[in-house]
Amino acid sequence: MDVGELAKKLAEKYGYHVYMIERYLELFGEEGTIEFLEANEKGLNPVIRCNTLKISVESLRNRLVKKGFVLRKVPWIDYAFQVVKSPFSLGSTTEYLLGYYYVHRGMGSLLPVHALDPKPGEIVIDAAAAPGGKTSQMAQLMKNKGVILAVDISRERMKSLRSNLSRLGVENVIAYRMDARDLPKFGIKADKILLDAPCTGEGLIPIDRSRKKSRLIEDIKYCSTLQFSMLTALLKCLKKGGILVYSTCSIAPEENELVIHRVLERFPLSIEKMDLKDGLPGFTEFFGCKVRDEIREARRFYPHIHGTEGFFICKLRLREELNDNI
Amino acid sequence: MIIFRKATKKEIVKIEKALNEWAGKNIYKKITSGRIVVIGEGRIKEVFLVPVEVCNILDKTKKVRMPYYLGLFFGEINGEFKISLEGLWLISKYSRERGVVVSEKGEQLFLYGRDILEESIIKVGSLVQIGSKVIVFNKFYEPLGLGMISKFSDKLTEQPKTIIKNILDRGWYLRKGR
Repeated sequence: MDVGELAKKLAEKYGYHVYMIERYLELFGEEGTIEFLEANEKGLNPVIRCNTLKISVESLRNRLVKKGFVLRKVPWIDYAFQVVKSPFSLGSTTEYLLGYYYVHRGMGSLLPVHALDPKPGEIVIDAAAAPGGKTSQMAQLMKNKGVILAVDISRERMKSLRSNLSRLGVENVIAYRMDARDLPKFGIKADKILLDAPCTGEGLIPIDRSRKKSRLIEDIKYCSTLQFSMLTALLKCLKKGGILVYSTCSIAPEENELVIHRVLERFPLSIEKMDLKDGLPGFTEFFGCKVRDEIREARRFYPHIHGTEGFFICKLRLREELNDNI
Repeated sequence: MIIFRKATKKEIVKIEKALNEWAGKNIYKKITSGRIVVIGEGRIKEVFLVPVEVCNILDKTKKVRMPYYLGLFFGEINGEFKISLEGLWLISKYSRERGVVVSEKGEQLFLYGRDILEESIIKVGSLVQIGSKVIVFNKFYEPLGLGMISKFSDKLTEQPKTIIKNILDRGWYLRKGR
């Protein structure tokens, strides 16, 4: 069967746009594509992150196990659990309402902050912050010390951010509803920045099946342009030697490796190795395009290999401070 | 638009007075150590406890843009100071005697926004008076919210019974806070 026919057949069987399957076949081969599509059908266990600002990991685990929850430790992060079985809705327990945990849709969304590794006392920017999962993870690693500038453009999602940060007892946040590309106007230089960029969200298909059909190839191009412009603006808010972690829940190389390649070409940046035990290297060639070799140090996560959402993470260090004219 | 500014002396006196009633003298000092009281003035007057470092960023950025939110939402001033859920969390360890402890069943009902009946009350703090506001704790002394304790006459038995009317509970995060 030729690739076109195979793509059509798989697209019909699993309910995707044909263009998506064609791209998967080119990136992963036939066997890898089928494994990926099958894993997307299975879904993911939700993950709870213990809010160590309010309770110890052990105390929370004991309380939830007593109530009948079956929990499995997340391999790389000692304050999070996959929920294998839950007798009640995760968002209605007393422990949730007391702010003892935050619910993540999958393990992948815990990784960007883990890679960023914010420390107490630092100035950190979360550039696409709502509804507050990553912001509150940062606050707990920073022990509520230092400052997080949390920025998001969505009015509705900002309400969720406020509610989540309150519930979790986060104090060291100043939140702005604005386009993150306007952040350089503040003239603040941060130690660390997280850009978990708006994306097509192909990696979220195990959680949200509507994404099989809701995005067109033009959306990838649109997102890639937006991501590059956000990243460019944010680099101006970073101190010399500062760290920026770029992540998406997309598996499209145009939203990931290509964006990184373009900023590496233009700015004094280097890619840092990450303390992540898992993940596949970033692509250096895709769809007839070759990008810089060091992008291999970025990490890709997949549902069929790592049991996570599809995810991309890259850690950048700024070698020289940029001025506003760049 | 909400304008954020430091609290005035008058506002601080109001907050201090309310806190003293909950947790005795010196509570204001304890709670505000390392934090600045900031007022968010829009349609209503909201009170935030803001770490000094965060306040420094506010000072630098507010000429460019006012924030949406900052620090910890501590309550609001609408005539008097009304404490928030997270404000209660902060003061609760100093004000156990102004609270009541409820059973697991009472805890569940209260978090659903319901009142607490006498059967669910396990312990009443020594400073609790009928007709006053009380902090509602679960058996671990975790603050679930705020209630008003009162007596009523049971229609069947004609005996006086205690009830805690729900004023504010953490179930808000489920019902309205998403």
